[in-house]
Amino acid sequence: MPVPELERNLEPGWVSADGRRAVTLIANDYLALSSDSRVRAGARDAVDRLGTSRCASPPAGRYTPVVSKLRRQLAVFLDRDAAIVFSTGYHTNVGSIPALMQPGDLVVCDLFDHASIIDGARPLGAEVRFMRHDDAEHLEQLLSGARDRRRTLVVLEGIYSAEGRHRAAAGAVPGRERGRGRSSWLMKRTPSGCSERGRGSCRALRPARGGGSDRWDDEQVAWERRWLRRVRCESRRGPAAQRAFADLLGRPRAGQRRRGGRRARFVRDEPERRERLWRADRRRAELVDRGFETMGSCTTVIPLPVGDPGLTLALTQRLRHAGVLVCPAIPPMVKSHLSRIRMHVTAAHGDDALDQATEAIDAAAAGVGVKRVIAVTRGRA
Amino acid sequence: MTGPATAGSIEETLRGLVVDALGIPPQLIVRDAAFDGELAMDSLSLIALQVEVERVFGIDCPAEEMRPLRRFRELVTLVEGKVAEQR
Repeated sequence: MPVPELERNLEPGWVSADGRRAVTLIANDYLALSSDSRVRAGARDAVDRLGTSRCASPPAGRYTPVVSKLRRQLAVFLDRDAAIVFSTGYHTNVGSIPALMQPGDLVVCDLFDHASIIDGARPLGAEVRFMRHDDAEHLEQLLSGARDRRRTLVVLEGIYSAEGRHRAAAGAVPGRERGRGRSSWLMKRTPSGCSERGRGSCRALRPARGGGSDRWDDEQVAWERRWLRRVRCESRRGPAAQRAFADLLGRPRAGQRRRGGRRARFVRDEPERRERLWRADRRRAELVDRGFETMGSCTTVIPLPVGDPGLTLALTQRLRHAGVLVCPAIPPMVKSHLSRIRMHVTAAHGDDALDQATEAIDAAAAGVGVKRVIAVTRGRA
Repeated sequence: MTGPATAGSIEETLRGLVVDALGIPPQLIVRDAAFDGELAMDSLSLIALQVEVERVFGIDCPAEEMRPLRRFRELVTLVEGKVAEQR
């Protein structure tokens, strides 16, 4: 199936594809900042003043003033001495994991970890082992067999992007790890900046149906701080690359170690962005009401299992023809029988866009024969 | 964790694990079933199967040893050997 060429962004939540207006449910632009007029003006201004690139890596070409300022501001925002900016989430994982680990070390990944985490871990010469998805007991079992390792890194995700679920069992891991007194670390990757303070941390998700609680969040926040301290401490004993990474993580700035810290300006001043984002709840409920499974999603990432790669691509294509762009998740991204389409509801989507998407999904799924969990009981157009 | 010990129970347990990993009916998993043929094993399913084999039988079964396996019976032989070594 050819990848559609997007001609231009018409308005937030919409694109022009195949010469027609289409709802896009494939963007990671959760808070709809990419189309914000201030963001676009800032980008234009930066290009006018500085050109498009240094055309050299930072060690050789240094950072542009804009990137340096961004790093400083991020460091203040995150209460750290320093911060580094990667151009994509993928590069973050590919760049940071090798800086921490060496041959002979062990990296433990969740089976549902993003491919970038695996790609970051594999070239190291470190052994990579997988734990069952979100299974703290299995993680404990793997760590028990790794006592002779100089260093172990456990890499979990904040939100598992193929499922739209956040981790649950991992909440039990920190306490166990702490008791072991070993240098096993937890690194989290959270895809969106939609948290209460815009940090994309464990508060990215509201305590909600069947997942999490305020207390769980508190424990996580406290544990993350301990984890960061441990990483810094261990890294400073290591070779230069690890020391560099420690500098990137930095120490909490004096007087700013209070929990909470600063809020991102857009989160503080424009709370409606986050409120719009959570219209995903209603959409998910509507899909469930129409008999679709959503695989326990409790975030703005909504999967819809199809169960077959060919059928998934057929559904994706039908939706595209109906003016709705979704992401097909097929092998090797997911197991064949768990093939699905995946949709990202963002703050950019208005009710008209989401209404169109819901109706199109209903019709296209019926057209390709996607199984539903329950019979549809209400009459629909 | 210690898994099943007898040859028959090892094979049945493995059949169950392959069913879970691939989402296919158990009757398709005959001894000569080919992972890259009728079972259509993809790379992610192979890793999922490896994780389950290690967890259930309490053995080390690295991906390098799993990857060359062509048929279900070869997996059974590999796991039986590792379980026997462990005793």
